[in-house]
Amino acid sequence: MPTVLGTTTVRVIESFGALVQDLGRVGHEKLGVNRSGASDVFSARAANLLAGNAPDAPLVEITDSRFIFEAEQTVTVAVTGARSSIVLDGEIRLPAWEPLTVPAGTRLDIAPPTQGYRVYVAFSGAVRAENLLGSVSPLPARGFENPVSPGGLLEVGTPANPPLRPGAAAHLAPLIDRLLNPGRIGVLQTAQAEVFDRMERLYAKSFSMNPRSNAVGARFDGETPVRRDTTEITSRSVPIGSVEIPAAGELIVLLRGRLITAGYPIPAVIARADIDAVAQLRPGGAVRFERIDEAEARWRILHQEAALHRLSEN
Amino acid sequence: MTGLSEYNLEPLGDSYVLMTFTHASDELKWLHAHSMCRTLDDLASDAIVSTYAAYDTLLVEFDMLRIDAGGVCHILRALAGAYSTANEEWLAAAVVYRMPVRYGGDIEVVADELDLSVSAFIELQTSEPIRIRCRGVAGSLMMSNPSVVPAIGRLPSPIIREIHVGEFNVAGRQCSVGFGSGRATIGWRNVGRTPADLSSAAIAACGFSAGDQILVEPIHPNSWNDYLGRPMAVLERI
Repeated sequence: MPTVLGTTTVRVIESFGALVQDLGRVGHEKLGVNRSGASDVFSARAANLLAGNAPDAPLVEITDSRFIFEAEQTVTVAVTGARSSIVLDGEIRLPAWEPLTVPAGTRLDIAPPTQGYRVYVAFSGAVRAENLLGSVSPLPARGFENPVSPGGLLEVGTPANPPLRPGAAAHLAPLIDRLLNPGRIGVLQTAQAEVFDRMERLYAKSFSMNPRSNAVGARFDGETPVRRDTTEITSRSVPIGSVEIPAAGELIVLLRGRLITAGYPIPAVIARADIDAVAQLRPGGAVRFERIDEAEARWRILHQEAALHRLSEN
Repeated sequence: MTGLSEYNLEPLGDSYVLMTFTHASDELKWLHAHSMCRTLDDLASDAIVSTYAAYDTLLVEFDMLRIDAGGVCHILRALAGAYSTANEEWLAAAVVYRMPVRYGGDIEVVADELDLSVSAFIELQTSEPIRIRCRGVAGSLMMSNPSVVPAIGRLPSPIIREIHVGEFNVAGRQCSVGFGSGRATIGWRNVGRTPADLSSAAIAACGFSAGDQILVEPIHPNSWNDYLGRPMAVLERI
């Protein structure tokens, strides 16, 4: 691939299912186009800010796998999300949640995560990728995605801003700990809980993430509330973060890749601030849900937004 | 008519409000939902992130850093109070399309569940034009079966399976035509497929707005190639 003037290229050495993502599509819902975008928005925004990019710039999302690239020209990156070993040229260990310089001709090896599920790599200047309806994120129903394949080249734009200084994200540490080890996920119960018996089960015991989970929905095994009837519900749009309990008794949390409509009752919705933590759960991982109110949900999102704002002010 | 009063407002989580319309008529529930959606969109408020009207509901996503559920409910009540038939003028642009469908898939199982023969099911299903209620995943046409078709059970839990362009699926009192292909999470039952041209260009040319109607034309399996790739014909303006 010829290099475009004003761009940097990196060669992908190892990748398994990595994708170019951004924050997804807004405003096309009426045409049936769902939001999609990075599953862990907090980590994606932080990576871009650390790299000096706009928070919604395209970046690489790696799901539970190794990612190795070689810089053809010197490039600055930031690695966030799940905890992984980051090694430059096989010997220099580098920190996550920091801007990192990858000199020309060197390789950066990001190992499969040891805690959490999804890693984000932002390149200063942002990855260039094909756009559909205002986003580079996958739109599976239209067969659209920007895969990051072994042997391929990633084209990176010219940085508009310098990366942040080292240590700029130190104040994010408590939020990162909670993101990767949430303990309890906050949910807001809805009026539709009335069609369930034993709602207390949602909060009483832990649930285990099922391997059949994907970017559309995180599926959980555990003792669920019991739907009182199986009356058909007419399809309607449902929130990102919806907790669905179909008649078969499974518990599904709809993530950002959720379909635009659904026909199952929604007894609870994950607090917006905690959806990223659900996206970082590993298959087999255990989690508990706790009932919170709107004020607590608002406090949690304000806390996150203030931390990201402070990062952007650096 | 001035003002709407037959609706419920329900916060869903910290960033959404669901407005459910409760009029006895399914047709009016749908009309109110879409007319209210358009009225809310016309406000162009920065605090509203997205809106989506379906069969009898309007889901409003809001920016919780700018407004809360109480504020959104207040806006919706105000708009409902000022509602009039002038809000419904958008429906005048609706058209009727003819759509060929080769019935098949799980139709025998579905018909059996309804205690109908396959031919009786098809006869009921094609007895009148059906209205596009909203656009679902990948732009699919979300519609309602004619009222004479009994409710059809949704799968107990959605499954992940390969779907095909043009699938004609049913669930409850609803039916849909899918425009996408690939692996998808779905709880609907497949009863057929249309060979009509559903390429992006063809779909864009048709427009397919909520309010348009589809007249389903059952075709013999051997006629599939006669219809393959042909555009859906506009029969008439309503």
